[in-house]
Amino acid sequence: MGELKYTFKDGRLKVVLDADLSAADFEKIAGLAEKLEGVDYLGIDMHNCVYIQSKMLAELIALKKLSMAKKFDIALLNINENISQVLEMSSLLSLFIIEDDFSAFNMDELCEHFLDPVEAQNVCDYMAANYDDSVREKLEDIIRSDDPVKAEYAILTMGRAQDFAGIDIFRKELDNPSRNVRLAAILALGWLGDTESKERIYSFLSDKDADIAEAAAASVALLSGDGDSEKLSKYLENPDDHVRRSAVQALSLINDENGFAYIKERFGKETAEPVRVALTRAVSSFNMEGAREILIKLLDDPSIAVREAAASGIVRVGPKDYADVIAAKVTDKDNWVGFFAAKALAGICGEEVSEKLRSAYPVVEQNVKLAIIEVLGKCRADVSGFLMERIGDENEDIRKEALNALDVSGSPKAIEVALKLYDKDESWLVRYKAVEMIAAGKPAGYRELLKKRIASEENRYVREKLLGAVGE
Amino acid sequence: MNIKKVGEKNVVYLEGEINAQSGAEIKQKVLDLFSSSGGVVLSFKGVVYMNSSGLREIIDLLKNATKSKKELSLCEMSADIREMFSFTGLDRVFKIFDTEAKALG
Repeated sequence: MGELKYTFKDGRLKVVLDADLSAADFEKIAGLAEKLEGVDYLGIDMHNCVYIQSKMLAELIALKKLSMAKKFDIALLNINENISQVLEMSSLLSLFIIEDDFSAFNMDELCEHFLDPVEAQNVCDYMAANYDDSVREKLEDIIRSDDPVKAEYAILTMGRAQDFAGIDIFRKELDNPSRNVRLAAILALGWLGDTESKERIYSFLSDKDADIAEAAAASVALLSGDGDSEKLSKYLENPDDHVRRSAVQALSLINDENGFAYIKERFGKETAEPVRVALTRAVSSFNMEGAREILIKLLDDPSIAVREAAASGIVRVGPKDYADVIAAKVTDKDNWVGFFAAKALAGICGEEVSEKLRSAYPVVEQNVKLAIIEVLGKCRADVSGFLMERIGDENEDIRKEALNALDVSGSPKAIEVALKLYDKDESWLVRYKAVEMIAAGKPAGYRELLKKRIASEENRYVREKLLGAVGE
Repeated sequence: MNIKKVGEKNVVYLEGEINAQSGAEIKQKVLDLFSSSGGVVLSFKGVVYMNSSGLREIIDLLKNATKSKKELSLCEMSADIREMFSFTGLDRVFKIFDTEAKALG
């Protein structure tokens, strides 16, 4: 055990522990935190530590007590899975702030994190935020090396840092044998606006690898100028579904009049469902005349996925003068048409439409009923009476949706109803929702009520919700 | 667009459609804000449409922010706008938060 390595600046005390940590290290940290004036944060960096012995946990608890007495935050930094598990098993994990702090790592150690799928993106962000010539040199070395995983993240980091000096390197990496490296290079060239690479990137658009084709389409869209919509429209004829879908997404992003015309035209020929869904989503991305009418028509499409995309599209663009037309579809003989028609009115129905939805309710199938209740919760009319009646329904899904809708609508009755149901409703789904609402609404005496309920609640999910709500 | 000062940061509430023209206006406004604040949060809550030209202006803003060591965060995107960032991989480039409160830290 050597001297404690630490820094102290602006109230932040950071200690880096060695691999051979002992209980005495924690005692030293406590002594230091007591001695220094104005500590408001203590970070204990454990990236060198492989394991923590259980006898040291008592010292950690003592540190926690000290932090509470002296009112400073305490964080365990860069802990590995083993340590995390020990803390979790001893129920100590929740007592500490658990954070990553890459400032303790040197450049080589940082780049090793590129191999960790969980940490790679965070390291990429950290290096981009602290980008300088030394970072660039290290990343260039990595790209020149033969490790494709590290090279991928090195390119993404340079692109993320908007390093235009990387453009020549990225152009070269478009020929890299690793698809991940090519993918990263395609994306980074798009981010950096390298229009000189556009023609080369087009060659990846018909790649058999769907991810490569999609990245190419995205970068072409970012680099687009006059004539690119026309060029992309040729890919709408490609035999591969994923290529046509990527071309649709690119046309949607470019979003010019020509692109809209190509997308409308393609609807007449396209039979693959995923591409038809992409076309439907694309239509709603155009602020152009005719888009809304196309979406309304698509509510009758034979494909449920297309109808769902159309309903979402209508919510996005607004029904304008077509709210009545959509409301009339709610009672369609195909209950899925009714379901998505109701969904399309979410957040946009006023008094008149809400009245139509309530009138339709008794004659529609259950899935449409649920959609109507959901939509009414988001409408601008007072529908609390209607929703209260649904709370007495024999179907648990209806009761739960009605409770949720009351909550979403901001009705003052919502909490009142939740308090009646949290311990009485026979459905755990309803009780769970009620507990959630009570915990969020925090009515007077709610903690005691929920705490009292824990012992008699038989459902484990509701019990966990109750425990979480009372902080146990 | 509306602007609200919160501590050291400015929150810019974008609205409607972000295209080449509105994107250029946004960029100019945010560049002005960079000179007088620690960082800018762009709220996309009111944005319904955006195209690649608008997106390029937002990327250009990030370039300026990086150069001048200012913080630029994005928040409150609809699923459709978020999808544009995800499609282009720009969700790896920008700091994107679900809520304004999280973006303000």
